[in-house]
Amino acid sequence: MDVRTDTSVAALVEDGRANRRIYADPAIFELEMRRIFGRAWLYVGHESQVPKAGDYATATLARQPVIMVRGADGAVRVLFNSCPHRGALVATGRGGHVESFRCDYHGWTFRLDGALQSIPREGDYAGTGFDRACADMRLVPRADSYRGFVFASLAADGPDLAAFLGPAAANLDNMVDRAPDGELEIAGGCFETLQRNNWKIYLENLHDGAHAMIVHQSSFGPGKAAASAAADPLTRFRAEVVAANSQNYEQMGALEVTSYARGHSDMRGFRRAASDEPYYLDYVAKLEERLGKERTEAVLGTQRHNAMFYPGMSVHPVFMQLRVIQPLAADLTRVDIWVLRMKGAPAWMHRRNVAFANTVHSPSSIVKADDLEIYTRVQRGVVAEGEGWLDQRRGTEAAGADGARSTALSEAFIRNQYRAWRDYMAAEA
Amino acid sequence: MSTPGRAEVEQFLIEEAALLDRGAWEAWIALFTVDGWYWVPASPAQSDPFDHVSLFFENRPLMLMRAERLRHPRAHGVAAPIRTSRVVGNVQLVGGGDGGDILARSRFHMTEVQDNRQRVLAGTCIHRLAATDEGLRIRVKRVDLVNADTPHEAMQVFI
Repeated sequence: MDVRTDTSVAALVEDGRANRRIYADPAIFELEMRRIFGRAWLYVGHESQVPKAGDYATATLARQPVIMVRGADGAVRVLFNSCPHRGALVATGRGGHVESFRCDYHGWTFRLDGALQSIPREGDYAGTGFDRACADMRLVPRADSYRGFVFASLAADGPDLAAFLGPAAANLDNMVDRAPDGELEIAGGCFETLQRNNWKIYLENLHDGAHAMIVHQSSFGPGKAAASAAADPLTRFRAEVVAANSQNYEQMGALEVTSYARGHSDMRGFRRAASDEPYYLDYVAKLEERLGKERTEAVLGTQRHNAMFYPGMSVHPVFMQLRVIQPLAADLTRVDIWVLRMKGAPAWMHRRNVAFANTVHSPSSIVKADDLEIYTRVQRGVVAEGEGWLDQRRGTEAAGADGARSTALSEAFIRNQYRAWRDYMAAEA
Repeated sequence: MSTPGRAEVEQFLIEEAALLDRGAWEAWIALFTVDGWYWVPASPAQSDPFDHVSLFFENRPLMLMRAERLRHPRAHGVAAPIRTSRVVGNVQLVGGGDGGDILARSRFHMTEVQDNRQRVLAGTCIHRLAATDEGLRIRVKRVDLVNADTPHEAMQVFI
């Protein structure tokens, strides 16, 4: 197929079913990189990673290396991490601080905004037609920030960031609002994980309440036993997080899921977030100092377990987790998990959120282990009957004010993801 | 018990590794003191398990929770059994810890096989050991993987 003009691929998704080919065909994967990840706003990093001019962090967008950097003017920019001369990475490692960027191949230097600064023996270019004005490091076509979360789009055209996020942005608002000082920062490291499955298989699981009592049967029982035996609050918390997957169909069926435009969605909370611990009461008091009692209740009462920003980011607002989904190949996906620290909150709030990450997002998570196994089985099974279709019709949805309402037992959010998939894939690029 | 020397500590570490290779999780957990901790940092030279994420950070109740899940008939992730082979070496006593504890540093290589896939994990272990009437007991086992901060697939069994 011609990757630029062939739009017949959109026919591989219908309302309520998807063709098996879209999970395993490398040509379709390449199209997705171009048409979905090449167009959507993708999360790059958090402003707190680059607090001062010259601070930078590297990232990957649709398999392309980029640099998020704070310029001398205080603005955060996103540059392609590639020297315009011979293409080498300019910044290596995860990040750091520079006065200017210097390519380690021939020593070209660039200002923090990517503008070419110097070329050793630049006079050698005299009379060659070399145009200095075309030798800057390139900016990613669009970059913008929403309350500290930095996104970029590889496409010059399309909806702006606010329009792209739509009403789902309320999840990011809720995260920031939960911080007593009204600000978040990345803190406490990152889990970099690999999954041997297509990226869409992972997204289809994010609000799937019908899998928990089947897939997580091996862990929620031990979780319950550990919770009742735990002698300290942090151990009890971790065990309860594991045990929460024991909720039955009735409970999952009462859990509200909302699907928004462009494939985004969120799900109400099902893990206990409040606590009787002194640090938690202290936290609530600090939040009330800034927001007042009524507003604090509204912020803490907005309990969403997770939210999906299609196609590349998911957050757990209550526990301050942020997942970045990076497809590497049709059958290989990288997921990085970060923890955000609420500025002004007691230290144990962050420690609890780190413990949450250790429990459900670590490569060693006894919850995730069974998810990963099932994703792998889907990937291995889906190549059977190459022309067959997979069903997504479970449960209904109803129109709501800002999105379609369903429950965690409905596959409405999956159908919503595939409407977005079809919209992206049907347009030439 | 009298203060054990390097040879006794090495013997203890070899027996510990054998329990893990056999999947004798409860017997391995019983080597820990009641307040013992098992810690695998997610970054090299990570100093803190509370404010920074860890690959594993488990006390005995959490270790037992993992062991119980590994034995569960519906533990899909281990439907294909995990087989491991550990080699422990370069054992050094690196000075006493608090209250007469023994601090031992060792290196390990662990080959893990599951479902036709094989990987190697390697690194340094720090054991803080207590000499008790029942023999050596682990207060803290810290495992520093040489690739602690690279992308990882699932890690289901103790390292």
